[in-house]
Formats: sequence, structure tokens, C-alpha cells
Amino acid sequence: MWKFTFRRLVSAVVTIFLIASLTFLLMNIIPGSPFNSEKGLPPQIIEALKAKYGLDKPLFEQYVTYMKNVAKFDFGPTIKYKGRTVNEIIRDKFPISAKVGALSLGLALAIGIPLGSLAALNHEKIGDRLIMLFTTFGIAVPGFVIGTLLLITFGVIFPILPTFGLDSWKNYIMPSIALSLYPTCYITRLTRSSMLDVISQDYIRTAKAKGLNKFIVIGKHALKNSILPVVTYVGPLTAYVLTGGFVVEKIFTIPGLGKFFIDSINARDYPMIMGTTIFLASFIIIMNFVVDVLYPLIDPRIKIR
Amino acid sequence: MNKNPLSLQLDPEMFKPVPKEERVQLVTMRPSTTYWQDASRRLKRNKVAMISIVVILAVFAFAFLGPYIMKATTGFTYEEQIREDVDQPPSLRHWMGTDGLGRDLMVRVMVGTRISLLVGLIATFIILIIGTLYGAIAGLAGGWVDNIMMRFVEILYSVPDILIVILLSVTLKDPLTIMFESGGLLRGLAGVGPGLISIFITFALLYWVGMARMVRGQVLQIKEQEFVTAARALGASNRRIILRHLIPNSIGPIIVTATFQIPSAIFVESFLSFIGLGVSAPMASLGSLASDAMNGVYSYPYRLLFPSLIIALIILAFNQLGDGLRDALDPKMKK
Repeated sequence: MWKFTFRRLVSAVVTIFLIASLTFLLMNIIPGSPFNSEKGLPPQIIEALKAKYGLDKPLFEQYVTYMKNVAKFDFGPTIKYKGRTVNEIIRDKFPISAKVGALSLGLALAIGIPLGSLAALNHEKIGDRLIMLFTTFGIAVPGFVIGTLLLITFGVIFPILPTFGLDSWKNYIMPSIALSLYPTCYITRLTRSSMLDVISQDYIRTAKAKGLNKFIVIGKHALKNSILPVVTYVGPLTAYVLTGGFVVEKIFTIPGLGKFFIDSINARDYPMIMGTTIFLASFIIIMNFVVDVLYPLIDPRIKIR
Repeated sequence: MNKNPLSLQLDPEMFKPVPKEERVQLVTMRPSTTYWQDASRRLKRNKVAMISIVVILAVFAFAFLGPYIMKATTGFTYEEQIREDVDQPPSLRHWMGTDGLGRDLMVRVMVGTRISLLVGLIATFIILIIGTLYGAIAGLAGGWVDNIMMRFVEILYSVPDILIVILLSVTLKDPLTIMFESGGLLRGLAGVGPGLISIFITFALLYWVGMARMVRGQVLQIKEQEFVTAARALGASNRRIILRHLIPNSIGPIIVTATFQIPSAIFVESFLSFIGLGVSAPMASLGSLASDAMNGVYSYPYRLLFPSLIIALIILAFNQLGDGLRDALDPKMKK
């Protein structure tokens, strides 16, 4: 157990380290500096600015300083938003993205698992067919398409929901639906196929033969084992809602980290891009690590190598 | 004649020589079907897959022949700006309307579809080559080589791919533009645009891991079989075993995995173009058309509708075809 956890931990740390190094390397092969766009600056001032951001030192020294700071989760000042650090922006904006993301994640689980079970219990019947049809389409539609369709329908044609900002709970409805459609459909399919596996097993027949209520058989005995594959999907799901959030935040003009990230891409705000990438990547990797480590605890049948 | 089965009276019919056709039937019970005949028969019986093939062919015709037909009949091209036709709604002259610069949207959607399809196909081709070879080598080598190669795959697998694609697209844009402008050989690539090239690079770096894992699994099973031992006994090199025996014998799952890669590559490209990376103007992809349409979505919602519908249609069709191919080529994988 500890050996497995340790190996996973090392792997996660190495991955984060590699991503941080790659980010640094990529940012430094770009010709020119972020100050070039501000035309007419005298060379002395550019030098002073470079010195301020530590860009005048040799590359390796910059790398070491940078990695030291990353280890302390300190990403330095931004260039676009003068006087603010990347950390401040992440601290301010990430909770907003995380809220929308968590809501979508919860929605996907809360709808996907019951829907998948329902499909499995009505295997090959009309209910199953309809649910599978819905998920087939749901998986094929990119998040930005569903987001903009919702925006047009409920924001423009029938203006019943607010289309931008995050002032009331109503603002969360469309973004969460747009962001959760794909994972909902995926989880539905996942639950369906594993539920089909589980309900054909002997212990379910035993439970039925004991005369247990159908709800107890499904809810207590079958569901527990059939949601195991869904647990493994939580890691990738986190990655999906965080990166999918970029698009949804752009469509619904939500001032979250995703919108700031896209703005910083367009403004070539390198410290901001590096910081956000490393932060989000670490978040996702840590999430994967937690799921990996928890999984054998949830499912004792899994042998730990 | 006496029909009593217990009678010892013999039926002279039974002692006649067997006619020629019957003799053939005795030797081969029925004509053997090859793997491909078998698979195509199964595929043809699958209605959804056949419809998907028709849809895919139609989309290809729309994307690759469409622009020429439009040019021949109406004279519109994807970059031509018609002053007097700015911001037109869909009409008989412009079936999908025009954009703010007076460009016919239908031609732009056609060209955008072409770019999206090409991205899907080229990216899948890259994945196919790298993933198959990497997986086959790891599987055949086994032992510590396999161990190291797979540990590397594990690390790549846990990297959040979208973030790296974004990072690469941002950083490679300028160096690639400079390279295209200076280099003679690379000049031909300039039309493709640095955004697309960085997407291909990312696919080459990250997305092959799924394919590699799958091929390795196949190879681990196949390499224990007798014909591989026989090939080795006959002195076949590793290279020959991989190319002539291992890969052809796992071609079914490889094709299925590749088919599912096409829509996912199109997905990624449209995502990137939508957030402002990807293709550069005046080129269009379905994602960038949708992104452009976002600016005037309240007044011109149809501009968004057409590219979005086509993306959804392409992804749906390829997903269904992939399902059909999986059932046809690899019946064991069927759920």
C-alpha cells in the first residue's frame, strides 16, 4: 500500500516537474521579449524592466530561480495587469472557475449515474434506446456548440436567463449545463455498461432470491460495484471541466481563471500563462493521484502491485 | 422397396460414384471467407455504420468538391469580400448568408470543413505511425525496455493534454512563422499556418500514448503464438516480425482506435480555434468560424449554427462508424 502510494507520488511530482520545465523551456525559445510590443521605449528602460523581471540573467540561472519559486508556488508578477502577481489572480479567479467546475462535475455525476443505471435496468427496451440515443448525440456535440445554442435559445430568443456575469444563481444554470453535457453522457454510458456487467452476477441473483426489494438490490448491492469505473473517471473529468471552462467562460463572459488565461494568451503575458498552466496541471495531476490512491481502498478486489 | 430401417436389404443408390460437385463439397464444407470479407459483411449489415459512411462521404464531397462547384457556379471564394453583400442573412444568393466582410459563409464553411477534416486525418496518421511502432517495439522487446518505455507513456498519459496544446500553440506560433518566412523548403508549409503545425506537433508528442498502449497489449498476446516463433526460427529480424507479423495481425483494433482518433482531433482543433489559437485568417476552420460568429451572436445566430452543426455531424458520424468498425473488425471487443 505505502509502496504503491509512494510510487504514485513520485510519478506525480516528476510529471509536475517536467511540465514546469517544459513550460519554462517553451517560454524561452520565443524570440523577442514581452516588452517589444510597447513601442518607443528607450533601450535603458527595457533593460531596467528586464532586470526587474530577472530576464537579464543567464538562462540556467533564470531556470533555477524559476523552479525554486514554482516549488514555493510563487509565480511572480504578471505583465498585463501591472502591480498584481499571478498568485493574486489565481487566488481571486480560480474559486470562480472551481465553483462552475464543481457544479458541473456534481451535475454530471448526479444525472449520469441514475440515467446509466436506468438504461441498464431497461436493457434493450425503449428507455435504454432513448437514453443511448441522447448520449450518442451528447458526446458528439462540442461544449462551445451546446453553450452557444443555450445562449441563443434562453438568452436571445426566450430571454429568461442572464447571459453574462455571475450575479445570481441563475447565472450558473447555462454554464453548468453546457459544461456538464459531455461528462454526463460519458458517465451514463460508463455506468450503463458496468451496471449490465454487475446485474448478471451471482450475488445479485442471490439477493433477488432472498426476496429483497428491487430498490435495495439495485441501490445497495448493484450500484456500489457499478460506480467503480465512474470513480476512475473523476480525474479526467476534473481536467475536462477545468479546460472546458475556458470556452464556457468565454461564451458566458464569466470572470474566472479560464477567461483570464485566454486573455493572457492573446496578450502574450508569459508569467501568467506559465503560472496558470503549471497551477492547473498540478491541480489535475494531484486529483489523479488522489483518485489512484483511493481506488484500492474503495475496491478491495484491486490488487496493488 | 422395403422402407424398414432394420432391413438388411441394401440400397443400390448408395454405391454409385459421387458426382464431381459433391466431391468438392466434401473437401471444403463451404468457401472460406477471409478476415476482410467477414468484416465487410458484418459492417454492411450494420445500418448505423452504413449511414455514417454515407454522411462522411457527403461531408467530404461538401468540403473538397464544394468550393470548386461554388466557384464555377457563383464565383464566390472563401476570401473574396463582396462589398455590396455585407451581413446578408441566408438567401437564394448566399445560402448561409455572408459575414461582416461580405464573404459568402457557405464557401467558408466548406473550406473550414476541409481544414477540420484534414486536421483529423493528418493528426490520426501521425498518431498511427508513432503509436503503432512504439507499442509494437515495447511489446516485442519486453523486460526492462518495455518497463521504461511504458513508464514514459504513463507520465505522458497523466499530462493534461489541452493545457500543453495551448502552451505549444502559443509558444510555437512566432518561431514557426519566422521559420516559414526564411526557409525555402518549409515555405510550402506557410499556407498551413503555424497554429495547425503546432497542433500536429502536440499530437505527435502526446496523443499517441493511447494507441501505443493498445498495440502493446495486442503484441504481448500475439508474440507468444507459434507463427511468430516459426518466423523467428526461420531467421526473421525484429523489424520484419513487427512489420510483417505483429502489426498486420493487430490491424483490426488499430483501425478502430484510429477511427476514434479522427473525431477527437477535430474536437481539439475546433476547441483551439474557438479560443483564438489554431488557424490564422483568412483561412477558416469550423472552430474559428464558430468563434468569429460569437461576436455577433445576438444579431446573426445562424452564422454560428452552420459550422456548429457540421462539427457535431462529423464527430457523430465518425463515432458511429468507429463503433460499427469495432463490431465488424474485432467482434471480441463488442460490449
